[in-house]
Amino acid sequence: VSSRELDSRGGGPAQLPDVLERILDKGIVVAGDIQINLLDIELLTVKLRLLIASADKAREMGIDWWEGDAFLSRRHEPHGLDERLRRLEEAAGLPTANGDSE
Amino acid sequence: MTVVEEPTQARTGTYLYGVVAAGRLAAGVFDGARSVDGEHAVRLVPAGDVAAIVSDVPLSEFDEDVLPARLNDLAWLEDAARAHEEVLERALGQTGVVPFRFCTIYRSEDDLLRFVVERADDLCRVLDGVEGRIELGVKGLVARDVLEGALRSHVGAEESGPAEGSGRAYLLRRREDRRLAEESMRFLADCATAATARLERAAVAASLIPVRPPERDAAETMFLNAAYLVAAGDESLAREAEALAAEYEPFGIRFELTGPWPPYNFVPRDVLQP
Repeated sequence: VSSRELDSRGGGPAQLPDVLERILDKGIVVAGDIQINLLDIELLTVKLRLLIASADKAREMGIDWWEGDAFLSRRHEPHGLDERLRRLEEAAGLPTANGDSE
Repeated sequence: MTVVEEPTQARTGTYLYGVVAAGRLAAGVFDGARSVDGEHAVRLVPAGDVAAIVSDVPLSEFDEDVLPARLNDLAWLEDAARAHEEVLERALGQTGVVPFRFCTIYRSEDDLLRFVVERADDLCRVLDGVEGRIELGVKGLVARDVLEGALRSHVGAEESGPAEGSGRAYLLRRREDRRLAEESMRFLADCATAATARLERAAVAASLIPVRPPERDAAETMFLNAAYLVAAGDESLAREAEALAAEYEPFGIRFELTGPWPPYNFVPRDVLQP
């Protein structure tokens, strides 16, 4: 992985997702006479096709920080996995994640 | 009673790209520019203290009943979106711009002008704020395996545990993985907080954009997506991003600078709303 990559595009074309996330304004056309709610018609599916193909997979892995307004708004969803792991740990006689110290 | 309608093909609406202060753009600035429909010329319509950047669009392509299907056509969307952006970038090269959202369309030029004239005060106020300024984007991207590897070596090698293959070994490994995942989340949160604070100091204003979900098979995940308003020609934000990139490179973290953009993220939404 090259390190100090700073892609200022200097005349080259911008990446399409960067353009779309700016000009679409959360998917709703807000002015003008032609009123369509892009979310209703799933314009997002277009974005999704570009970007989100693996969202479900990522969510399974607990990576969901793109959700919500703030960056890194990672929720600790009651996934079941953590709970199951904790029970297994107890059964195996290991200190649980909550109770242990280094 | 029979109503004879014009064929749809013949009807056009007026597409609004953005608004600039009156008298700022050189004649010919839009010569040869591709419009969103690829046919009608991009032109400037004066409206008092401001001027609207517009082009006619066929309602056969841009009316409410057909637009949704068009927008789901990726090739069409890309052409139109890039045309919208490139028209605004031409203007941005010469003066401050209030960019309007994609597919802001009026049924006639008169309707469009009525809106712009009604909004003239607000538009002028925003134009004052963005004059001589551009938007830059900074994306923070992480290669999670590199970050976890770096954190693992900081934390120290794993102690020798029970025999490989035992259930206990499996659970220990699972716990170690989970701890590393939590550790890297914390690290990224700290990194994002520090980076945004430093970048903000190099900018006139800052705005956070929702982080995008990971792409399939992408080696990197986005953890920070921000936009900054800076004076055109001011390099300090770029320098700060470069410094951050150098500092965080060992942790698999990269900062990507994009732009210059029209100040999409620095126009209050109510100014664009009807």
